[in-house]
Formats: sequence, C-alpha cells, structure tokens
Amino acid sequence: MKLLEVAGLNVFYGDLQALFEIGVSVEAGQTVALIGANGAGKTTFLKSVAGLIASKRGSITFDGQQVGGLPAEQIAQLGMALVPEGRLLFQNMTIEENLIMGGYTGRTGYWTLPKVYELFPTIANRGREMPFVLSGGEQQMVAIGRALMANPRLLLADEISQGLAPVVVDQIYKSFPAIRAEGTSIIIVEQEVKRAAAASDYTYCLLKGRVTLEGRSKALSFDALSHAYFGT
Amino acid sequence: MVWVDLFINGICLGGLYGVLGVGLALVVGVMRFVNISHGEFIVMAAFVGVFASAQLVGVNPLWLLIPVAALFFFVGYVVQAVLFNCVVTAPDLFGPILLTFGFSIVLQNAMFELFGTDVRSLTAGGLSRLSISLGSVSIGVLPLITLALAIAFFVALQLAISRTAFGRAIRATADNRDVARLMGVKPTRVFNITMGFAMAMAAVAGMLLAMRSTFTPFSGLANLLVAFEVIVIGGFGSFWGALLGGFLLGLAQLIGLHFDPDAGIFYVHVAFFAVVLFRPQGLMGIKLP
Ligand SMILES: Nc1ncnc2c1ncn2[C@@H]1O[C@H](COP(=O)(O)OP(=O)(O)O)[C@@H](O)[C@H]1O
Ligand SMILES: [Mg+2]
Repeated sequence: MKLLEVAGLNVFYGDLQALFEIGVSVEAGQTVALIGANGAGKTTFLKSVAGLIASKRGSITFDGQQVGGLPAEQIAQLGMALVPEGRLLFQNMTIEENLIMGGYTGRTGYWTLPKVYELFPTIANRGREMPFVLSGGEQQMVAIGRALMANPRLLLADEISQGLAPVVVDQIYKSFPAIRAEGTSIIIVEQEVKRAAAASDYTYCLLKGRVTLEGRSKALSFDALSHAYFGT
Repeated sequence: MVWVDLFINGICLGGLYGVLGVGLALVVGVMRFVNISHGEFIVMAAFVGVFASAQLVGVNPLWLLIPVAALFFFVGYVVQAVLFNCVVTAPDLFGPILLTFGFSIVLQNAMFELFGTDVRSLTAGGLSRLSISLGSVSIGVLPLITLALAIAFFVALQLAISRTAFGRAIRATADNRDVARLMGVKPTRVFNITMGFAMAMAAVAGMLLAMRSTFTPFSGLANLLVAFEVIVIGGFGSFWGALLGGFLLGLAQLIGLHFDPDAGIFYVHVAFFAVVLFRPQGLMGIKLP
C-alpha cells in the first residue's frame, strides 16, 4: 500500500518556481532516498510535503488522504514528522523538553522517552542539559528522537549527516532499522549518493527542481546517478 | 523612617509596574510583535472596573479583578484572532505598528466619546485608608495586596510557562514558529491565548492602578510607556527582569516625588534613561558580544 503519493507537484517561492512536476511515492515500510546537489530542491520538497510551504500545485496523498491543502500542524497530527535541515532544536529548552515537545500531538505508540534514550544511549542521562552543550551528532540524535516522539508513520530526515564525522553518521544510520521495525517509513535526503543508496530501497535524484532519475537503489548504476546528479 | 516607607511603597508600586510590563513582554517574546494599543486596554479595564463597581455597591472592587481579568482574557483572545493575527504572520515590519497604532487611536477616541475627559479613579472602599503599623512605619494594605498579587502573577506565569505542555508550546513557538508547527502546534492559537493572558494582566494592572491614582481616556500612552520601559530595562524576554525593572521604576517614582512633589512620573523616565545609558542590555539581559 502506498503511504505517500506525490504527483505533479509544483512549488513556488513568489515568482520563482523551485519544483517542477515532481512525482514521488513511498510504500509502507519502505525507505526512500532523495539525493541531489545543493539547491536542487530537496528541502523544498520535504517542507512542501510536511505542509510548511503553502504555495504549491499538485496532489499529495498521505495514508489515503489528500493533504496538499493542510497546514503543517494538521499534517503532523496525521503522523508525518520532519527532522529539519540544521536540526533546529529549541535552544531555550532542555534536551528532555525538546523530546517531550516532539510528542505534543499526543500520538501514542512504541516511541516514548525511555525508548528514544534506548535507541540513542549517548543522550540518555543528559535530559536536563541544554542543546548547545551537545556535539553535532548528539544534537542530531535529539532532533531524530524529537521527531520519533510523535510516533510518525512517515519520517522525513533532511541531511542528517550534514557537518558530522563519518563515524557519527554511521552510528545514526544504524538506528534506522530499529525505526523501520516499528512500522515507520522513511525519506532520507542526502547529498552523499553512496550512503543514501546503501540505506534505502528506492532512490530519486533531483536536479534543479526536477526528478532526473529514479529506481531501485540496488539497481542504479554509478554512471547514471552521477549523470542525473550533475546534469552532465 | 521615611526611607523605609518610601522603599516599601516604591516596591509595591513597582510590582504593579512589573505586571504592566510583563504582559507586553510576553507578547513581544512569543510573537515578535509590539502592541501599541496595550495601554488603551489597561485604561479600558479601569473604565470597566469603575462602571462595574458603581453597579455593585458594597462589593469590594478587588473582587472585580477576577471577572474583569476573565473578560479581558476573552477580549484579548478575540482581538488577536480577528485583528492582530492578520499582521503577526506577515513579513512586513510596519504592518503591526500601523495596525496597533491606529487601533489605539480608535480605542482612545471611542472612550473619549463614551466617557468624556473626566478624571476618574476607582475607589477601593475603606481599603485605601487601611494600613498596618510596624513600629513607626505604616504600610498601606492596598499597596501590600497589590504587591502580593503582582508576585503571585509572576510565579503563576513562570510556572505555567516552564512546567505545562502549553507553556512548552509557547516557548517552542517563540523560538521557531515553523518547527513548532511540525510538532503539531498551531501558532495562531498560541498567539490568541498569549494575548488573552497579556490582556488579563493588563486588566488587573489597570484596575489596581486606577485604585491608587487617576486616569482619563488618554492615559493609555503613559501606561504603554511605563510598560515599555519596564521590559527594556528588565532585558527583553526576561520575566524576572521585568519585575526587577518594575521595582526600580516604582522606587524612582516615589523617591522622586518625595523630593519634587510636582514631578509626576518624570523620575521614572530618568531612571529608565540611566539604565539604558549604563546598562543597555537591561538588568537581566545577556550582554551581547
Ligand atoms: N525561502 C526561500 N525563498 C526563495 N527561494 C528559496 C527559498 N528556499 C530555497 N529557495 C530556492 O529554492 C531552490 C531549492 O532550494 P532547497 O530546497 O533549499 O534545495 P536543497 O535542499 O536541495 O539544497 C534553490 O534555488 C533556493 O535558492
Ligand atoms: Mg536542503
């Protein structure tokens, strides 16, 4: 069954069109990668799907419901959670308050504070600290944990490896099977092609606001990918 | 002894100024929005108090604080929902200023039309003459009640914001509106309720102020100015700073009046100016590098 079905999506920033006729679909339980260079439109895509950008045309169906016209707060209620680019933790709140804030919708399920701490032991026992004392990797774990606290059916993760050391990125990616095991589908946005392909079932490549390539991650050749990525 | 007297009364008045400021501070902190008509709401609450207590002879006006605060919570909620939200979410810097400035003029003139320019005040019954003596110092009961209410408001607000789920939603919205929305927070609802609280506090401050001094339909600007000075010298966004700022201004006013009986609230502005000159980040504000 399709959990997310985006068809013919066009998104605008004023007069500037950032996305053109995007079609993306995510099956329940699937991990989908969205790759593309800086400025390709990846963040714009995630924000549009999550309801943060209103000036768009096209169809966005989530869990069988048309959500293209809904605001972000209502889409969150339906079970979609976004880990924003740059983490954007609430700086005036403790780690634990950030996580609790993630559960504001009141959606119940597997993910609770103890379960998030179990998933990321490095941030357990640090609940009372403020976000700025954490390393980048730890902050990213809080950002992911905060999204999980909503017990989402679909998790959108925007460049979670940005600015992090490879070992830390590995550690974060290792949490994905556990997240999927609880029935959450994932869209990961990455600039790093190999890592994205390895972690996903299906890959879309964006270039200047258009999908230039898509296919099963295992089946994509490196040549085709780099062609689609750079537009050469 | 006169100094102890001045100090205690200054602190009591200052607590009131703190409440005046903290409503405005809450709105600025959460919405990044300055409501220039804040002072007019304070005056409106005083008018409501005056007319309600005229109807309810024998009822101590202090009891009226509760229904009037509730009424102004509702008024704040509705004004935010139908009027202010139109500009709060707009990227335009002048929208909020023009709208609330215009609104303050409309409210001022409406009050002038309805009530004229009579100087009024709210009589607190026998309460305004009651005082308790501690040795040779006598402290008015009304100022003490005012201070107690002010402190109760600060504690309640602080607890609500730091401990409740809605308080977290308020802080999240103040920090980053879009990220808060991703957690399921509806910012306009947060704004409506925040304005409701701010107006309830303005109403309480307005009525208490009317019990200790006089007002006219044009007193709003002076109130806004004091509220503004309180939050600037307190350090933007700091609640306890606002209370401290209120204390400082209250003390400045009464000490000034003691030496210069015609000064009015002149020394409030002098104290404000001195703080801005020597500590521009405010009393509790963080020093910018
Ligand atoms: N808030 C904005 N206003 C105007 N243009 C924007 C805004 N955000 C992004 N853009 C433009 O939209 C395009 C896609 O940006 P973005 O979605 O951030 O790309 P990516 O996440 O793939 O790096 C870029 O050309 C960028 O300049
Ligand atoms: Mg991006």
